Amino acid sequence: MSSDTLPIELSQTRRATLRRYRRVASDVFAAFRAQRSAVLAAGVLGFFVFLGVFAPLIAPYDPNREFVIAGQAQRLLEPSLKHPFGTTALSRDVFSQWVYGSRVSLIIGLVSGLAVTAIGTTVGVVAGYYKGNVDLVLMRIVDIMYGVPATPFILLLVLFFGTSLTNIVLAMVFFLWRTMARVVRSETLSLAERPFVKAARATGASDVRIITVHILPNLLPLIMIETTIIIAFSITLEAGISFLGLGATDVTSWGTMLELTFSSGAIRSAWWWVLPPGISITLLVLAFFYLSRVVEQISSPDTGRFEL
Amino acid sequence: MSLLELRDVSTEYTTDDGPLRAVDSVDLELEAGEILGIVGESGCGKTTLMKTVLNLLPTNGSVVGGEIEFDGRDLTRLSKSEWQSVRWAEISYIIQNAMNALDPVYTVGTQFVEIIRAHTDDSKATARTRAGDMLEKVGIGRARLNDYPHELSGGQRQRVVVALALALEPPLIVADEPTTGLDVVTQEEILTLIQDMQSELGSAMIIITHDISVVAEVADRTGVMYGGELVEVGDTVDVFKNSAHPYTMGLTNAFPSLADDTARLVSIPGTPPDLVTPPEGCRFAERCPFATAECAEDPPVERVGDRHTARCHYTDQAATFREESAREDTWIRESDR
Amino acid sequence: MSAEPLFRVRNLQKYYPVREDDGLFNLNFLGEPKQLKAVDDVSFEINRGEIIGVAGQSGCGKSTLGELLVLLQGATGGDIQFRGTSVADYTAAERKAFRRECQIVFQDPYESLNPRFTVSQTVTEPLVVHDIGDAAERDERVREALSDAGLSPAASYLDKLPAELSGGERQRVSIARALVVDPLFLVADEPVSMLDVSIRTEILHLFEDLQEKRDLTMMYISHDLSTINYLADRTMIMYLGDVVELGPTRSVIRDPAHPYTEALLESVPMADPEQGRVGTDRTASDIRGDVPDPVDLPSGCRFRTRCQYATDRCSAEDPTLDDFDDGRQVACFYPVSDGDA
Repeated sequence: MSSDTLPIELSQTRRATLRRYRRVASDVFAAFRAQRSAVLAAGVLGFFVFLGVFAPLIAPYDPNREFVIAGQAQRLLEPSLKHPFGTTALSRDVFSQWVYGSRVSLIIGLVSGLAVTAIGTTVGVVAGYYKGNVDLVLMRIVDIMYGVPATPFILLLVLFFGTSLTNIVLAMVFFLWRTMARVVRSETLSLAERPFVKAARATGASDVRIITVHILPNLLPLIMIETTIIIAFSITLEAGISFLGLGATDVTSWGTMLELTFSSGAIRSAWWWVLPPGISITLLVLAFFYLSRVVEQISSPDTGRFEL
Repeated sequence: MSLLELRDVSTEYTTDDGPLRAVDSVDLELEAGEILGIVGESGCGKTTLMKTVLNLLPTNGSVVGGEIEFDGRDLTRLSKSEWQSVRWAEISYIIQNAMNALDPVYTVGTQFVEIIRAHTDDSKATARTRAGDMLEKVGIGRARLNDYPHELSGGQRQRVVVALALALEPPLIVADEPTTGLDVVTQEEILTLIQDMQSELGSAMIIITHDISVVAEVADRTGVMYGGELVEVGDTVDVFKNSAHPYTMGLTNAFPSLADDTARLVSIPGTPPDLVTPPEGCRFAERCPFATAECAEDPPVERVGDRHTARCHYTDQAATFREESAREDTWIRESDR
Repeated sequence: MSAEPLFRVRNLQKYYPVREDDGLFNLNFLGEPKQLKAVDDVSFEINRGEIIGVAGQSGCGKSTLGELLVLLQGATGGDIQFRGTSVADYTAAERKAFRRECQIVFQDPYESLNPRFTVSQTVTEPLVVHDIGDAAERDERVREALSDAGLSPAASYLDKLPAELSGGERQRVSIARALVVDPLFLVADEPVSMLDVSIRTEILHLFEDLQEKRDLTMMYISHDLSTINYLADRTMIMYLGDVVELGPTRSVIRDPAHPYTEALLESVPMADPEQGRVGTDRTASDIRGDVPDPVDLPSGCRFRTRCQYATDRCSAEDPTLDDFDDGRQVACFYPVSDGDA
């Protein structure tokens, strides 16, 4: 029932909500103004999102198309008008690969991030709120996950189950949720002890209500920061896995691009092929990290107020 | 000559809404060995006043007027390095929420020695002996030098912080809300400790608090702050028994007493003024049951007794006001009836 | 006044197991598993319409007692009867109904409200939880509760967030939240200790009015005997989980029977520079030593280590709360009063 979570339908309340949104918006703008690097980061992110979303329109060619002119494979060509970023050792257009690679990286980042958030938060909140045996069991599982070294195992998983993009994302999520769970659990533990939660319990609110209405919204700042960081981390992780040769075989990612530059031996000479994916991974990850700082600033309570 | 003299001191904070005058034209005197209590509600400016004296204002705060004379020097004009030698050796302070002020990863002794050596030329050994002496004095014992803060009880940590403030035997100690958040028995212990130490060392003391009972118990002189101004100051007994400012009268009548449980407590209606745009004239007029049209003009500081002043137009009627202010219905505003 | 007490508490216990990492078996001197006895075998009654004060230092168990009474914590022993029925026998539905009738207000005005809820949302929540009324009715009740709690005009407060309110205002919102469901009983746990002294009076007045106008029964918990003296009809003094004295406030304060009560009165602050602290000729420094470790309680009477009247009997036997004089009970072999004050 909608009235279960919304307050009384006063037009005053709606107006107040609008006022609050405006306040949040101005906070966001202020935070960005305060950190110029964040504006840059947002720009970078926007740019790559644009690339990824409009990839089919921006990329001049199919990224997998091999160029052969008069029986001559167009391998390792330097940048030209026809191939703005040159070609790869397999005669493919680097620019098109790069553009589509942006899409892949973003998908990996976002899907991993959201999945990790969903799983990690659920586990963390349940463990932190109910405590007792539930907490014990769940945290044992998390501890075991921590005991396992992530990268080698992800590699093993991918080796066994196949190198599709889906499998890689699944394998990463399988390991990455442990951090989110721990962080969320710890924050939930402290939130659950705060008087306003106790007050809600004393009033007779059900556990479900308390978790959804009181705890989760107050976890939001923390979750947002963590998610941003996890997104950055998964992009890096995927690049690393790909570079080790176990990257996705069904799509071209920046990581697989780099892997090929290495395995084909062209890494030292074909700068046009190495630089775009290399710089892009770095920029995208940095962008997310800087954004996480802005998120932190927006969600933290106002500090620096004087006392009288 | 007084140990500490504030003349027309004003402090402002720059805020998004404009300059906020947290302390406005305060005149204060403190003799050597005296305990002065500054009392007032949240937002009255007492904490800012303390920070002004100690040079601990945040970046958006600055002294915009007046002088603070301490032992012949103007504190508002001291450089950072000069403050370094003044702080702790000449003016120290007992931090609010003292129990949590100790660094948990260092032993008590280490922190003590560090502070002593930061402000004196003592060697490690000398500093440690000094620290041990102080701990003995506050009733904890030299052996505790080797303990970590978490190994001491809350009350003991409090005593350590008091000892820290007294370590260099400064002539002036500032205590910021030393008993807020403590239960009454611990409060009593700390106040007794502070009093004993102060009388032994002969230091002067300024106690900042919102709790008038602390001031009543411990302070020789009392200053009452409201809306950034010092509205009344004098010997404690005078300020309490011969209050000359209606706000003081309201405060003293709002305190539940064990001796007289039949009295109905008084509560002062309204809220403190906005200090970004303070009201014209007397700042308390809006809440004062005795205000008249004249109160729209800045009240003068009137002398009401020996070393006793109040900022009010009607100090000559103080005796009548005192009687009336003891009655609860005097304070109920027409608009609230 | 109805004869049947609202609450009948018998031998209430709340023990917490203590786990220490010293490698031993967590047993105390007597070989029993170590426990923190936050509330230790407490019995009393609360009558309809009265305000019962619970006083004591930090760690005496008074807050735990308050939470036990509103079922925020489960007791590890003993029985609580509310209106004749034991709470242990409640079905889920009865439990929820109980929660409507018994409310609690906490000490910290800054932490008692969800920082993301507007005042309106906070005060409406109990109505939502108990499915009371429709939107219009709820609006009406919320405004009334805010107004009863002293926040006037109610309409101007509805959309405010806690960050926009002062400490006193927030505390009033907490009180409004408790009042909106028309409870029978309210536990107030140190409601004014974090407020400016000048604001406390208003909240105390508010509680007085509520008792009168709404026939509200209250448990007022505080370490400050002067506010308890002002507000409470009867008073309970607690020390380390035990009730040491219980009786009409007037008697307890004017003529304390238990040595600890006497000592507690000594430390009550007075806003009178010409008087020291109220009480007998003893000073607080006559309470010797520190509060003992609550996990390792002294044998016999737990106050004996600090009591200047203690004898051998006091370490051998633990005094029980016995009838003392008219309406009063004391747990002491050597009460310091002659009784019938």
